[in-house]
Amino acid sequence: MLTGCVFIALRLTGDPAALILGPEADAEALAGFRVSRGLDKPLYQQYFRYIKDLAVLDFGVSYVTGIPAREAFVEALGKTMKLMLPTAMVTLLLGIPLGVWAALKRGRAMDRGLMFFSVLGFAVPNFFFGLLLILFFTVFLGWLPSYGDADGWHYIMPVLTIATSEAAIFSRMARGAMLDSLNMPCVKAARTRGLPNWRIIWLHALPNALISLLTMAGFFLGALTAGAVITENIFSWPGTGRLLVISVANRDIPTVQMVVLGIGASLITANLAMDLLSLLANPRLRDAAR
Amino acid sequence: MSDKPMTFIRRFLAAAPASVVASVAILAVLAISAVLAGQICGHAPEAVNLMNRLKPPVPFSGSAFNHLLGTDELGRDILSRLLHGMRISFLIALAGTVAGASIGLGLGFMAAHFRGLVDDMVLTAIDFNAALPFIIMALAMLAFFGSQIYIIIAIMAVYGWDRYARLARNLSLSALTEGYAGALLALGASPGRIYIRHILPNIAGVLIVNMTLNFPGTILLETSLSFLGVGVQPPLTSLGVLLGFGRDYLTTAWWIAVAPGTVIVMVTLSITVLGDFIIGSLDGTYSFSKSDRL
Repeated sequence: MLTGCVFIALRLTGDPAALILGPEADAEALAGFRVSRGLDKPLYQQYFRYIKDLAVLDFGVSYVTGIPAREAFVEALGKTMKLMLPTAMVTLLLGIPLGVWAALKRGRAMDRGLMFFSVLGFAVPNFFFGLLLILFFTVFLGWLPSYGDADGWHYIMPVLTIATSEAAIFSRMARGAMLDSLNMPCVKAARTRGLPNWRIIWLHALPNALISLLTMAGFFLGALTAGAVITENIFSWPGTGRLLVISVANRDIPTVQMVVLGIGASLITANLAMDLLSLLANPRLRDAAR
Repeated sequence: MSDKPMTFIRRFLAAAPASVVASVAILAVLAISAVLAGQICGHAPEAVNLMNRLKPPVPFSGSAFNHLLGTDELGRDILSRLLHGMRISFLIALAGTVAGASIGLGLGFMAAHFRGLVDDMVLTAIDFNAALPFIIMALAMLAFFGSQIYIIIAIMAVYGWDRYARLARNLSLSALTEGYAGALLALGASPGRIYIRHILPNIAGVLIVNMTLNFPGTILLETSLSFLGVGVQPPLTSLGVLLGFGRDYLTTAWWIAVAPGTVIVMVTLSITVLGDFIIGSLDGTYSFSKSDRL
């Protein structure tokens, strides 16, 4: 169904030949382009060819660079992963402890201060925060490079840009999850048994909170991907997000299609893996799934 | 809200914390200045003055009071461009929100009315819309259809419709079990009349809250697309266009980017604070179902 929609959308939107070659192209060049891309055949033949190509994972050749779309995507996906791994780590290491801490200090100045920063992190869009980082660390201080992916220094600002906004959301979720689990019967039972506070927090409340956070992981992956689209473009990181925006600007349809289907497929796979992981981690869900 | 407006305002001021009152005030000021853009600022947003290029904003040396927020690389007044950009951004977000709410309401009501296959189809479409990060779908749509202004508004509508559809469906399913819907049916009222005249007013409160909560997301979506250069196209400006433009001048003229960025943060921050307050005071009648962000 998805392929059908994409195909129809593609063909509804005007003649790719005219778009790629520009208004100056003469009729002969246009016809030549159409023949070379199979655009002169009847629509149903085009659709069958398109499905046949998809089945063998052939997504066509970029209209602009002439590189096969799949190669460009795979290369960019590697770069995006290289950026996403440290980002995910920083997000979790920042978001979860801060949220748990806020939950433990509920209602006090610490809690309110942290939650204020969380709202701020939520409201400042990635693209503005990234620019502010560049302004401060590159323009004023001259410490960090503002584009590319050459060495470790290049990671700092993109990772910070995505991680702060994601950690802001994550800390709110972690705070909620921790508050819930502090109210669970097992925690109250541990209190009445007179267990030391650290044991209650680390061995009883926290594992329960982490399990409910795991179910948010699918949402987190989606948010990371979306964050990457903006952030890669700010810092000229040669990943999938940048590839997508460049191809959209050039109306390079095969590449756009490859990136959208590729990101969609990776997210679905990752979500499935996360669901299985949370089944593994939480016996109660396993019973519910049966 | 049967109170007179003045008593409503007084009760709001008494109940709301200072941060919420400040947010409402900021939003009001921004909205009014966006509406009155042409009256507030003497300079036309497109007026080029090459003698006055890259003037910094007022407290800094070399600034002038006739360009409060400075000028850009063509000597155009930043304040004036900002106000006109705000106007476009707000208009797009508003039109998109209204369109999205209408589509969502229609589909939600249809799902609740027909049940069965129609319901399944609407629910599948809702899940499909929630499965991919929306900015990727938006970029794909821009690649296919181009960056005309009505396409951008349509994208904003598609961004929000699923939440309204889910809300409208669930709320009207529960409204249908209440006595008044059955009574109307027995009286022979047409389905259209029941949904529009009777159920809609009953669920309007929750829908309006949802519109408020959705607004920052919509603004951010439009500004990010425009920032990436694939959204609103010059000569039209929006907050995102201004920010994306300012990015090229970060090293020489930081204020070109900082001015629109600050406005975006003010809008999203104020609405988020306001939305948190409304959710808190509704207490349980509304909960986040989907919180995807850009």
